[in-house]
Amino acid sequence: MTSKQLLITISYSIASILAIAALAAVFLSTGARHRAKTEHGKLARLENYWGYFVTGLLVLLLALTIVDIPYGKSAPRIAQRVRVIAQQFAWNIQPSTVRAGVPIEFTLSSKDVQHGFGVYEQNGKLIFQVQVPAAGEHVQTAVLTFPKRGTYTIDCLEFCGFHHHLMTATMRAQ
Amino acid sequence: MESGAAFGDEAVIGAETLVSREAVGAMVTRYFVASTAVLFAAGALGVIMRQSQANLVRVSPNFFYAAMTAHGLGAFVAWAGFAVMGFGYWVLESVGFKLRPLAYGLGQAAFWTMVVGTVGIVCTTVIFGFGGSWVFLYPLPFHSASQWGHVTTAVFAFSVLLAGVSIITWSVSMLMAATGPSSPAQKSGVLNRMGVALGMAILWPKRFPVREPLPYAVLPLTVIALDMIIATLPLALLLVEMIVQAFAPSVTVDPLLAKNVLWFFGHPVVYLLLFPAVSIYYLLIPRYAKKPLVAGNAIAVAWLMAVVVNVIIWAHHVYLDYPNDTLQSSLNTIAQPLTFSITLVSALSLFSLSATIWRSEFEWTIGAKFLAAGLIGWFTAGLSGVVNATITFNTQVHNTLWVVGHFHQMALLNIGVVVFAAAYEFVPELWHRQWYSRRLGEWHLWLTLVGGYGMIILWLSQGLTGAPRRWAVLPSKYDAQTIASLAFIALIVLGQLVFAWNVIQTARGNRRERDELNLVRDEWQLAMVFCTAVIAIAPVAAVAIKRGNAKSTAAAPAGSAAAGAVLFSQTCSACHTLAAAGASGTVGPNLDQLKPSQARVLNALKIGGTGDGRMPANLYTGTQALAVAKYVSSVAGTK
Repeated sequence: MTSKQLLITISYSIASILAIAALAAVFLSTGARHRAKTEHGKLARLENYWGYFVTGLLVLLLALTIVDIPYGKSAPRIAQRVRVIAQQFAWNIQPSTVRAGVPIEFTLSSKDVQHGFGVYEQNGKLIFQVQVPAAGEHVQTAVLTFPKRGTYTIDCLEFCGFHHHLMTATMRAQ
Repeated sequence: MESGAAFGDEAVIGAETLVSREAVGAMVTRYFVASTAVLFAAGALGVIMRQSQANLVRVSPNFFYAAMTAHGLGAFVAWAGFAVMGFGYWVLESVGFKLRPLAYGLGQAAFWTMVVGTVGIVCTTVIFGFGGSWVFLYPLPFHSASQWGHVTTAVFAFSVLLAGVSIITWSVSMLMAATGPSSPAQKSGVLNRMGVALGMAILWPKRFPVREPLPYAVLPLTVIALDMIIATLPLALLLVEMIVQAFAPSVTVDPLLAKNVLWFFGHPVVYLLLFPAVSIYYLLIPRYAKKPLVAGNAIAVAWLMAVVVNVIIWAHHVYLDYPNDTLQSSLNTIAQPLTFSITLVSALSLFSLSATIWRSEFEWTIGAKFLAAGLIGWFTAGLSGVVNATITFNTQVHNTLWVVGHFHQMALLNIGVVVFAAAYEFVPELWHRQWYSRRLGEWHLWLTLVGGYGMIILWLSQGLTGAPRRWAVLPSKYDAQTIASLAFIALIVLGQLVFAWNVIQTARGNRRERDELNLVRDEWQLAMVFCTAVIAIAPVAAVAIKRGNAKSTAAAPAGSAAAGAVLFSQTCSACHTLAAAGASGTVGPNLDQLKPSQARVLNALKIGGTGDGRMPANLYTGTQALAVAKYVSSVAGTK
């Protein structure tokens, strides 16, 4: 797993367990013994505080994550340039051998439908993905650095037809 | 149950003729029965797909993708969506909102349009091979790689268009009911009534005076009806364009625009399922808790916000499309905070419903248990949705099986479970008879939950380790989890069979008195536990036996033509036609016509292709390349 995948796994697991525990507590609180109590007004006011609390959490998450968006990243001048042309069901990657540790500026386009450019490390770790626009006016550029030497697998991650799952290629980083 | 006959005893309020409770009930029954039939058909396709991924009985790739297309539209729109559309009418009836004959007629029209559309979708996919996925990402329907023809695309697009027309028709009829004769608004203007139905009377009681408070259950139905009209019209235009293009290929549309139009519909259609489900929660949770819904002004604000936000957050489905810093990347960026804001509707509703249950004399009927399970599904699916909505996390999970886990969590373990809850609660009201067996209901609940969570956790975890979505054949590293999921899927299937049996027996008017017996003393119950275990283990055992057999039969020697046949089907068949291998790719040259020599194949593998398609170099090397070369040169043109 990448560090981001690990972060998602841990935080999602904790949040889910807390959510299930909270709802379980609500379900277990029911029964005839509370007959006399009416807490309607109090609970309705609590709802506002819950609303503020959730809003606060979301604003925090937004502030922490919006800085890390992939849009508009420009490659430094030293970057290597790789041109990727996708088509049903093959990749044309020029050049397919690059240097490790040096940023690569990918220019991605398609001859037919949309494809997804997914980069996996040798151990099967998904390190990067971006959409390849269908043939037309749009071209996608993306900047990525291959962290270490070795072979990288390129898998198509946007459904592109009946042999979508066979649309793979390899790249080598030296 | 004949709706035509039921028209005869319309209730008369004042001078107006309104549709009777019996007639509405007959229509709701129709929606329930038809959508349940779709559940079984679409569910079967889902089982076929997952067991094929586990390599129990592998289906051809295009059948896999055609089944995927039918399963997606079927389970999502024609089961869960269709079911809650129908139950929406019963929610209105239950809170005293009567239908005028026109609104009722539109409800019937929406039913039949959806039925015809669904039949069209099933035929064009499963029979005629349309495998473009339910999002039919333009221009994929016109690049089928010879798997289906343009007429099939046209008929498919028309069928989806019918489903869209059904949704619009339903929406209009819902809005007519919400602003109709039972509106609590004191003013008679239609805009004022619409405001009341959207909860504005809670926030501005002076501008929107009401005779009595609006039942909360009406709110989500009004919001989604309004939004689905806005969201479906552009998609309808795209579908019409596709029908025209099928016959006039020069007519095209910008693919990125088409993708935005698709998701402009594709996001709100999720809420076509969720919001009516929320109205069922709003109706039934207070009923079981025997007290009114705990709700303040915040929830009215959230719903009002939802009307607008729902139709402007589609861009979170295209986070990874940002060609050269166009307007799209700005749209995508703004979609993150907007999407976060709409989670408040869920967060506040979950609070209201929990607070209503909190320390109440909650009546734990089978329907109530399903609803409680639904709240857990809603909360946990909402949390995985927040992961998707966060752009930086989306780059990790987009188009992986995590997303498949997320939406099954929402569609099956929240909305689907609410559909079942509604069935258990409403069927006695609709059919005037009690359920055949309460205990079978319990079995249905627990089999669905255990099977559902097991199946979904495995998808989520596969996705987090990079397993791609929409791959007919997954890389072998995911095999263990795929095979394990078959056990859970078997439990879900068993649960739905139990449900079907219960529905059929109830419809026939039977009742099982043995239900009240002690659970442990009942041998029948024990036998069922045993059978369940066997059914869960059976598919896993079958895959294990098959894999064992494959290993024990001597593998083809490396470098032989037989080994080459396997390698060819794994890689080369994607682009080349070779009848002996059952390959029909059209990207590269047709090998049956080319009839290449062994040396020529070896050379092509080494240097890659020289033609337009540019086959990558070194797809196979060494003994593997030799095996493929031997195989191709020996069989090309022989069949």
